[in-house]
Amino acid sequence: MTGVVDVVIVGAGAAGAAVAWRLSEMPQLRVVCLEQGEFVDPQKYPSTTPFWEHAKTSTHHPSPNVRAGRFDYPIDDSDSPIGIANYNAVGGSTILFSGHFPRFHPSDFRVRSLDGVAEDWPFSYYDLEPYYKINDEMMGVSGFSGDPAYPEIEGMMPPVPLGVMGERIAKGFNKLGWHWWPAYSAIITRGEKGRGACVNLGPCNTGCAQGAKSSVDVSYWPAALGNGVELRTRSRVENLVFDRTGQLIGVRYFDGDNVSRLQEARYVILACNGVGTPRLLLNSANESFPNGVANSSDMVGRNLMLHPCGYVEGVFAEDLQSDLGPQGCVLLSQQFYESDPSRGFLRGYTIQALRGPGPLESAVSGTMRGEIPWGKGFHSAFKSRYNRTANMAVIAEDLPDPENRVTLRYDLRDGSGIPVPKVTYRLSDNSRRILSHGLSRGREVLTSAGALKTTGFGPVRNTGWHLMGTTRMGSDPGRSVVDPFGRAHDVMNLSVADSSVFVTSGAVNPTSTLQAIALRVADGVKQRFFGCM
Amino acid sequence: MSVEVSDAQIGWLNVLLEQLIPDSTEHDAPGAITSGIVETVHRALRNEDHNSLFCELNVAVVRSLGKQLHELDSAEFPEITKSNRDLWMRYIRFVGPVILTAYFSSPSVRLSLALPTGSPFPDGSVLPEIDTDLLEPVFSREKIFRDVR
Repeated sequence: MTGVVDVVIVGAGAAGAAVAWRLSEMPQLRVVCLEQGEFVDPQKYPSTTPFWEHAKTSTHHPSPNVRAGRFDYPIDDSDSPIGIANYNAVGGSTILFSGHFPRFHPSDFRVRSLDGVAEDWPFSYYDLEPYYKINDEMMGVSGFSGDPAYPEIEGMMPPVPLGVMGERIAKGFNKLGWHWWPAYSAIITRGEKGRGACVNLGPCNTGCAQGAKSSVDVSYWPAALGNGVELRTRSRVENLVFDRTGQLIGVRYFDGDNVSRLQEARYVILACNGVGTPRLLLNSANESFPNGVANSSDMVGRNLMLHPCGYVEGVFAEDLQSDLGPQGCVLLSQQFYESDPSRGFLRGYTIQALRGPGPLESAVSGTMRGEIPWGKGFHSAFKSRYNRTANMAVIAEDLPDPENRVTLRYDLRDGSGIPVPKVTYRLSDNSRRILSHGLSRGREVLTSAGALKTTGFGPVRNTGWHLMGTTRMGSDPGRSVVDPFGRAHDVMNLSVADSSVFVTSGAVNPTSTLQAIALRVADGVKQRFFGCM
Repeated sequence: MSVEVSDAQIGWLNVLLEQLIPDSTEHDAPGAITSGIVETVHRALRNEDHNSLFCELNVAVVRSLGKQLHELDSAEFPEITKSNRDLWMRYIRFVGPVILTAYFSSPSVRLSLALPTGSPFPDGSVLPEIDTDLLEPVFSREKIFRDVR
């Protein structure tokens, strides 16, 4: 497509793919998506080689600073205890995500009303529920209905297996009388739409060669492309472009040859995640918007929420086959999700069971933490840990704080000459108390499950996958960046569709919710074009 | 940037490999001083970061023990960790993952430790379906979420 298009979407990850597909249902709309990365070939994922674990510390490391891939941009996260994680490709971070796919709770949308902190969202769980359902259908989700921690969720494929390790953990929860439930997983357990069912390869977090994990390159994109959306890869957007009257007319981007180009559009939708989106808005400052586009509230980049994450580990006497199965999808517990003032903190957390590490990671983490000695005892200690550990993550709700933010470093630029984002983030006392409580309870579960020894630590450095809050949504233009349908208060033909719009963070992986919101944002844009949903 | 590994460094690395992961008769597993692993480690540590750390540690050991690293024998290893603990830990944190990566890439090591030798894809693994009886105590609970509109 050349010339002026109806909609340009920036970013082909979880949100960009969902919004592109939803808009593609209206064939009259000419839609272009610009993505700085390119398609990845599933047959080249690390799990197609015996030494897939090596990739986790290099080509498929969660940090773009370590990975330093051709399509990555550096992120200065030196002023944060939590490192930023992402992946830049068609599919975005869903290429490396675990596929753990729980929804927010109804109470997550009413934090101010219920708990007196943060803000309420401008809509409820039940307003979003129809979009959750559409998203589950498009992505392909497995799980189990009847969870007492949620309103009814139906239509999922059978859950991924617990495995020996998962059953041990489940028994530990049952002994304590605490809630647990099979994981909600963006992993298909029955083949459909040309995708193979999960065969328990294991290393989901380096990409799924089977195509069973619902990264959006294999779920949404085939449908959106089939409907006529143009996806332009190796196209890194530099800024938003306005005419002399202050009207947004498109975006300027660098193509694969690093040539600067203009893509004109009647409407622009940003889907670059909670770091990339504020970066682009701030880097688009001009005479009309001297502090960055859509930033009259001074909220662009502020209220960054990251979900501080802790890990607990238990070592068992017997072989739990703990490295078999989808890495991040086993079971979850929401026993401590809802607020309880007697615990000494506001809001709560999810406990998410994880499969055990592979042999190399077992050995590296064991030796680095002093659990496996170098020298004579090396092999015995390794054998006593590998496949004999059970692991769980504690995902803490992060409350918004305007001082936790994304700004620009004009003295440090990416390969296209664009200033890199700087993350300034402090762990709040509330988050520390949540983590501390979660680590203790997690160890209690593992002890109850029969662990000989347990350890816990957090926040874990390279876990900043969940990037939320930096262009928050609201009805008041003085306190928010976008309206309840994701449209910028200050720019009539600009929307944000990614997790930047989150008002609060919940305490679950955000992809399911951010995609449901992206679908809703797309409906808002359709309404503006056609006056109907 | 790639740099040459000196004879002194090679000598030291070989001593180190033998000390860190010795042969295990109990587990019938080769040590790290095995053909293939040694060369991989040498190649992987041919860089300025290692060179710089090696030199720093070597100077510190000469000062404290009066010998260069490659001249040390196994009985003197504990002395390095005592007299130069922080520097030693920094060095081990750097070379440890490199050595382990080379070690666990060795087919003979993986066979001897009964570790998978092939790629996860395409076969994956078979796991039994969930035993839903385990969920009975959870099914029987009241709703635990706050249902607000």
